[in-house]
Parts: sequence; structure tokens; C-alpha cells
Amino acid sequence: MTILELSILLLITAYIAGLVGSLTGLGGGMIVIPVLVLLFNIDIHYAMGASLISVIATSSGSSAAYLREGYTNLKVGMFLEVGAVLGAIVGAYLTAYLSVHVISIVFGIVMLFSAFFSLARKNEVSFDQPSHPWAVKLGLEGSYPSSRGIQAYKVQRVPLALGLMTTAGSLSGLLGIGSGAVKVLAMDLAMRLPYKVSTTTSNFLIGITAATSVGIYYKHGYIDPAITFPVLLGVLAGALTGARILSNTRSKNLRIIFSFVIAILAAEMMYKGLVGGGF
Amino acid sequence: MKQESPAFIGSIMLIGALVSAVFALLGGVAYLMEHGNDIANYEKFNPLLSHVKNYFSPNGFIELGIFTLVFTQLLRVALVTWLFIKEKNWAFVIFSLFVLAILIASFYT
Repeated sequence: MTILELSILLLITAYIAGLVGSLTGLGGGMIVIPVLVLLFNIDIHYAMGASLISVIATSSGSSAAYLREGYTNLKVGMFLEVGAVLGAIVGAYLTAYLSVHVISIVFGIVMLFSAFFSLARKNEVSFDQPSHPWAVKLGLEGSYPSSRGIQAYKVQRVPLALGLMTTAGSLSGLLGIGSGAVKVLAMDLAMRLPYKVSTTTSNFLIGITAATSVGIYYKHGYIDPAITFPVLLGVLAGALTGARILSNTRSKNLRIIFSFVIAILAAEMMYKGLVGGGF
Repeated sequence: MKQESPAFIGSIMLIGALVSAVFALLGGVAYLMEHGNDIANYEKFNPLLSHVKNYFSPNGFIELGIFTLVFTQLLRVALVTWLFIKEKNWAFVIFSLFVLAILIASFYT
């Protein structure tokens, strides 16, 4: 295959990954990395580098629409980001010492988890239970525009959320993904924030977390300009299209179909990691 | 806290993303004009291939796009820090400055 042909195919693939990633909330990296590795036989390090950059672009590009809506909780965000950036540094450092086999297997596990969580996601917002003492002390509680007007919400289990965010950060550095699923888990399940608050706050943070790994990825040569540019352009365009569609449509069915696709890709990634074919 | 999520930070982020996309597109097209007919070979990882020496090259332009993106993240944290300073919310000024410091330190690791 020539570089021109590869670039065009990558652009199309990345567009679809960005579109579906934003519609399902799984993020573009979760899709783009296995496709690059399994379909195009690209070394996983290059795939991770290109994905990491596209994750930053997606987070930046969609922040405008999300911030305007008034759901993002910057206090919760910056508090949790303290854990996420520390995790990202550790993850990005570690990844250079891990074999491709280990990275592939961990990637497969994270994919399976994300697919499962995307389906099982429930929204139990905390309005009545009192907030965690840290949340009160730091003033993390907020309010958001709901169908019944401005609604105040409480914030639960702050230490657990901080721990989960540190994990999300380290997975982001380790694998070159946004770890949106784990970030949302921290805010959805641990803190019990409203769905839209946790999704938009997570999106706000993903770019910052991913940027923390760029220096280390760059130094190790994971970011190849020729692979990065079609992936960056494709994922960004796909995500911006997705953000437009999302405000009008429900995407439950898409999530179900897509979680199965992710699960199959995850199994293949783990198989490739275990058997070692092609590495 | 009142819902503090000012739209202007989002607008700056969007501009940053679009500027970086333009850099990446220009560099990418130039790269394809030079190397489009070469055979693609990315099966084996070779860290030496990826580093750019000259920013007035196609690859250099793509990297400028990447740097723009990373720089907008610095800007994002700096703007949030400034918001907390305006609110005189010192605990969050410290959290944001910490994130900013780690982000800057990560480029020198």
C-alpha cells in the first residue's frame, strides 16, 4: 500500500471512529487504536501516539459546545485533574518499559470494561443524600439546567472519585486513550453527578490529561507526523459531527451495537497480545 | 458555587483545535505530494524515524499543529486558574497551578 492510499483509508476510518466514539461516549481512541493495529498492521506505538493527539483535538473541539450549555463543573474538574495528571505521567513513563504483548492485553481489558460500562451506565443523581465532607469543605456542589429549571445536586464519595481519576489518568498515559469511560465512572458512579455534568466535565479534562503524556510520547518517538495527521483530522471532524447529532438524537441502540463491536475488537487485541502474531 | 463554565474558554479551545487542524492539513498535503507514492511501512516501530529537524518541512507543519493543540491545553488550565483567582478561591488556585506545573514539567521529562 502506498502512503497516499494509507492516509486516505486512515482519514475515513478515523472519521468513523470519531463520529461513533462521540455518539457512544466511548471516545475515538478506543476504536482507532485497535483498527490501526488489527486492520492496517500499524505498530501499536504509532497508533497510540496518533490516538493521543486526536483525543486532545476532540476534547478541545467539543468544549465550545459543552461549555456554552452550562453543565461543566470546573471545581470538580480541576480537583480531580490533580490525580489524573499524576496518573498520566506515571502511565506514560511505564508504557515505554512494557512489551507490546502486555500493552495489547491491558488495552483489550480496558476496552471490554468500557463497552460493558457504556451499556450498564445508570444515572442515579444525588439530590437528597448529604454530600461527602470534602465536597462540602471544597464547595464542589453545583447546579445545572434541567427540565424543571435550575437544579442543585450533591457530590458523594470524593476520595473514591479521586482514586478512579488517578487510574483514568494512568490508563490514558499507558494506552494513548482519553479514558473517558473511567473518568465518567468516577463522576457518575462515585460522585453521583447528573449524566450531562459528568460527561461534559470529563470531556473538559480529557485534553489536559492527554496533553500530559505528549512530552513523553514525543521523546520516545510514538508520535509519527505521517500517521498522526490523517487520524487527527478524521477523529476531530467525526467528533464535531457527532456532537451536532447528539443534541437531537438518543443513541441507546448505537451503544448496544457498538459495545459488541468493541468487545470483538477487544478479544482480538488480547488474542494478538497473547499469541504475539505480527509483533 | 454558581455554575461557573464560561463559554469563552470553549471558544478559545475550538479556535486552537481548528488552527492545529489547518497546520496538520497543510503539512499533510505537502507530505503526500512528496511521499504519497512511497510504500507505507509502519509494521515495525522505529523511534528514530519520527523526529522532525526542520519546521519548514511538511512534517514540521504537522508537528506545529500538534504543538498548537498541546499549547491550547496549557492555555485552558491557565484560564481556569485565572477564573479561580478572580473568585479568590485559593484552594482551587493551588489545584489548578499544580495541574499546570505537572503539565509544564511533563515536557521536560
